[in-house]
Amino acid sequence: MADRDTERLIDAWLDGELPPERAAGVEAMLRESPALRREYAPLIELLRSPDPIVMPPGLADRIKSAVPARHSLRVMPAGPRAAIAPARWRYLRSTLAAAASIALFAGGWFASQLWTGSSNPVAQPPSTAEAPTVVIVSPWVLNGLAQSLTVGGSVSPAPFIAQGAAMELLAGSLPAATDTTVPLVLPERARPRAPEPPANLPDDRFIIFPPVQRL
Amino acid sequence: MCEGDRAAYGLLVDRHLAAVYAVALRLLRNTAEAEDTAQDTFVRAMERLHQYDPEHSFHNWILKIATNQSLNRLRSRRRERRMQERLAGQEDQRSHAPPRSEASPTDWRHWLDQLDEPQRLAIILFHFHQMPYAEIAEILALPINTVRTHLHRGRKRLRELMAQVVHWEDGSWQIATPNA
Repeated sequence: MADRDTERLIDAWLDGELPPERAAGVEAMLRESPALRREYAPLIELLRSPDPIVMPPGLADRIKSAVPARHSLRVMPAGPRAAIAPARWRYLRSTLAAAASIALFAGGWFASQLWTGSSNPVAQPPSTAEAPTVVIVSPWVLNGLAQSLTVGGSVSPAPFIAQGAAMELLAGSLPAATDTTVPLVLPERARPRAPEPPANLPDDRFIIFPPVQRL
Repeated sequence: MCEGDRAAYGLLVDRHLAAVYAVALRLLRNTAEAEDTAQDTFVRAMERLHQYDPEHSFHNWILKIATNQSLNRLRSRRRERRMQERLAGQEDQRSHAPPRSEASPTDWRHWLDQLDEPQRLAIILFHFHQMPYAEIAEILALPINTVRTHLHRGRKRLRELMAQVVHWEDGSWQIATPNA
């Protein structure tokens, strides 16, 4: 029975991982040791020469006639995509999709902050004049659209956009602080105004908490 | 498909069919299924030719397709067997045991049939079809080190099994006792 080191050495030789001089050493060892030869020869013989495969007659012709007529033997043209291995390309595509989503979401959030900052009723008291109509462009929906465009190929954009719409609905049901919609101002049209808060109620953004008593 | 394409396709079939059929037959152990798989492999290769990267070996690419097609057939065969057993109410521990080999001990299939499926696949693809570890790992959806482990364990198991009944004398196998 081969010891552990010999077994590892022969395994490495079977894997084809040994440099030529060490491989020759293993071969000599297998030739000269009757015990090793007895143990390994059947396995080596099996791995080196499995039974020959006999091809069924006429199989090649059947396969040649079975190829659909619509196929053309055009190989992917060499280009930037061809230079990237398929697995790496998949990874790169997912990363690009994620980056595009984050960029769009962040852009939408900043735009919404700018909008809410400039139209803040505290900073600028609401005017009585009719404000222009606003169409909301949701970053969630934009995000979904970006994902579908980045994934590309035969993927339908509908699920991504539906996901974006669902997220928008969810975000709409949350408090105003989490509202991340980007308003897009359109030309003059009637817009319903929010009712003004009663003047006698304290502004809840300036609640003064009692001082913490240290023990 | 134009005439030139058809000629080129015929050339591809002539050049790679033997290897494709051999992979399918070794994995499936059924000539009819291997023939169907070989045909499916070439049709699939034509459908996906735009995905082939000319910087890599076409031979390995088409062998990968053949292996995947064979594995799909093995999985559906296993599902059918499980369903039949369930319908017959005979599901027991036998379904988890490797199938009993019908080949003789002088046939390589007899020995490979004794192995677990991942070990058998790793040995067939690595030793009989010279597929590199990375491609086997990709096909079997396993880490490379796991493929190496399957390969080493499979070889060890084969060695132990063969040592019980096979003797190597004068450059040929001598079967000591028939394997039950």
